[in-house]
Amino acid sequence: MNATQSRDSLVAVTMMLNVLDAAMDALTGQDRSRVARAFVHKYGSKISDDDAPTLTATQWRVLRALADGYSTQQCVFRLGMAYRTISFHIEQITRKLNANNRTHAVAEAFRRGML
Amino acid sequence: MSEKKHETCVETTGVAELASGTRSWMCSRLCPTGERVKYVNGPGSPGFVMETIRAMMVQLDRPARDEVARMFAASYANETAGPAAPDFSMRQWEILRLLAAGNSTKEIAAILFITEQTIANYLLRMNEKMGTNNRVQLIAAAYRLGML
Repeated sequence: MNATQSRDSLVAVTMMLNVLDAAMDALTGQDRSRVARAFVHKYGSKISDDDAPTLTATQWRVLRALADGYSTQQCVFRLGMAYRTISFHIEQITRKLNANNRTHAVAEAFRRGML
Repeated sequence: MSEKKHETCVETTGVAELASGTRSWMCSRLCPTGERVKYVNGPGSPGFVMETIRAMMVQLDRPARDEVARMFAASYANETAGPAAPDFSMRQWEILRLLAAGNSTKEIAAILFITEQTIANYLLRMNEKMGTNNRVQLIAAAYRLGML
């Protein structure tokens, strides 16, 4: 890493910390602690890549739609795929994450830092 | 209505553009109307703040992200200490955890010795509290807010 790069990186880190301070200042009580926890949970833990299974591009799109609370029927409209195709992708995602159902799959994806 | 607009704002703003007036930029986007909003995903809510932060964090490379995480954890250690502040009743926390562990309504009913309809009622109240529409969204929101 050369000098310019490391200076840019330092500036970026400082700015991000500034933004976070501003965000925390704007929050009070429970919201404040929730955001702090969510942040540390998401970025603080070192998640190894083996924890996250390899998903295809389509499976990622379906997983994100699920995390947004989309039903299978709503996924049909959002992703432009057939109902049965979506069901199949959900089954595959659930299998890859060793989950029991779609709710569990989304929970697992969050736990492993994929979302 | 305005949610879409905010999303675009966040996505298109590069780190470089944040150099000037970061603080006011963030504040104006967190609470555009100056009032607190209850919804999980509305402007000013914790969920919205986390989405905003996430959109900015992806623009940093891995070492920078780790550094930010380290510094943040150090400065806000007292915010994250102890058990999560309960907004839910004990029973609601129980159901939330069982749900996140992959149990179906039927299984939760068997574990807690209550009927499936009672679980449905609990989920309804929990979704109301979190401003979510269904159990998957509820779990996603709980993780985003650091409740799980």
